[in-house]
Amino acid sequence: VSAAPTSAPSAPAPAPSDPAPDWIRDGWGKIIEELRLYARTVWGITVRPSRFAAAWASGEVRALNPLAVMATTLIVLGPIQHEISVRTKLFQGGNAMAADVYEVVAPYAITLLSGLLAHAVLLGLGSRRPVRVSLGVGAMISGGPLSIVNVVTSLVALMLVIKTGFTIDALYGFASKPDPQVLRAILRPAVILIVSAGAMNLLYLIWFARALAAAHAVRVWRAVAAVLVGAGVAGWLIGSLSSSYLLGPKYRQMIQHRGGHVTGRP
Amino acid sequence: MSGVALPTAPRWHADVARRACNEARLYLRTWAATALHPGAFVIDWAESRRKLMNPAAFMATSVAIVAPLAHAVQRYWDAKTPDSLWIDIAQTVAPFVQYIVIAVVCHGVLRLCGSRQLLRGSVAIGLYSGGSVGAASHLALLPIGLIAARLGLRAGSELPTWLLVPLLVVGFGGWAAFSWHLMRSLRVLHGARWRWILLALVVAYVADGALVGRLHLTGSFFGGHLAIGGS
Repeated sequence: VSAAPTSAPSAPAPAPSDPAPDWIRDGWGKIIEELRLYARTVWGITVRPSRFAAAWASGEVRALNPLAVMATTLIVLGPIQHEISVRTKLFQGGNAMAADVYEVVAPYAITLLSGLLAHAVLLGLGSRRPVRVSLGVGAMISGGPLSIVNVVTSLVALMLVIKTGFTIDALYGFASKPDPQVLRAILRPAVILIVSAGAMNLLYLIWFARALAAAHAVRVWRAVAAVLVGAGVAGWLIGSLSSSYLLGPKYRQMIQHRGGHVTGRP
Repeated sequence: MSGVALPTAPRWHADVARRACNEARLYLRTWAATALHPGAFVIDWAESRRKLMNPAAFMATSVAIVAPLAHAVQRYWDAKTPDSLWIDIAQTVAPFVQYIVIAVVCHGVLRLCGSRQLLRGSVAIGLYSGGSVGAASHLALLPIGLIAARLGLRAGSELPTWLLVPLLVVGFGGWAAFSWHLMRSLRVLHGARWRWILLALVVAYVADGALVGRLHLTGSFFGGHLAIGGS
């Protein structure tokens, strides 16, 4: 076979001798492999948080990178979560893109920051594990237990909106201008929402504490104290930072605007 | 607790940094290879002569770099916000999906003209061209959009000549560069004559324009886009 001559403008170009590589199958294979590892990691941290976290922290179990767990969960559940939020009008972001992104990302940011702060407490209580263990557990927890909490809370909210027409605006409205008539209308759905969200968050904290305790090889009560401090401070910090600086005056204005509205069943 | 050696915890943070560096290096290498030497790149890729990024991953990386910036400028330029996040995402990603449409139509025409190449090859070329030269032309338009928005100009308002000229030069320049890159790459992949490549591209642009017009996606393209049959 002779070498291809320099092609004249009208001549066909020398084509590659092989057919195009099967890049679709290669890419798909990698995605499936990553998803399988993701499922195994999420299943492990959700079903057996203590055993899985201890094994992961000791390097005895093959798991997906914690950051990849968090990113995958965010990509898969984030848009769905956002869509439910918009439909339920529970955490309505208005037209501010920053508010939309904040609503989706905030729970994950709080979980990571909780892990970091809980780590500081655990160090004070005698743990010698490096900070990457706490952050890793926090990131993996966001893939499993946090997703369950988010999904259940969203479904409860969706059910309340469909059944009673309750929205967060009603709660804001009542907080800014207490009115017995409004209280009667919103009391039941508000209690259901607060109790279910509270119960789910309590479950999540227990999950997180059990995983942290096992990863740090400390007693569970120490991890519970650390997680309570971590989650409390992280929630307060991100909540106040977001309303003051991250989202700017547009978001603050929106929150204030909510206070002026009272929405009940039409 | 002292004296008890704890097992080493996984260094997942270092793993993330190492992987990110490797991926960034591979992306830049692929970008330079396809953008600067499209003909040689196609041969290298088709015959698996060197390690290059998967076309889908390459395009996804380009989208991840360009789309948030383009989205921010677009929102700044056009204050109207879409009704839902899905529409917002679709409008942001639409300019990049069109490269697949163009490649598929080109492939159909080239097959009719006698090529025996597989569809996945043409789609890969579309993704490489769009992810390299196409993404660069998107990026080049953004400063102009930003300047226009800073001047208080919004979508629908008339641009001053000193801004319109660079917009047209960069817009058409980017479009011409992408078209040339795609034609050269497809020509090598399919081993086709220039006239068939040109015909394929013209048909692809008409089809793409019809699709953009039908789906009313013109708002997704800062700097304008061919739209046929749209309002």
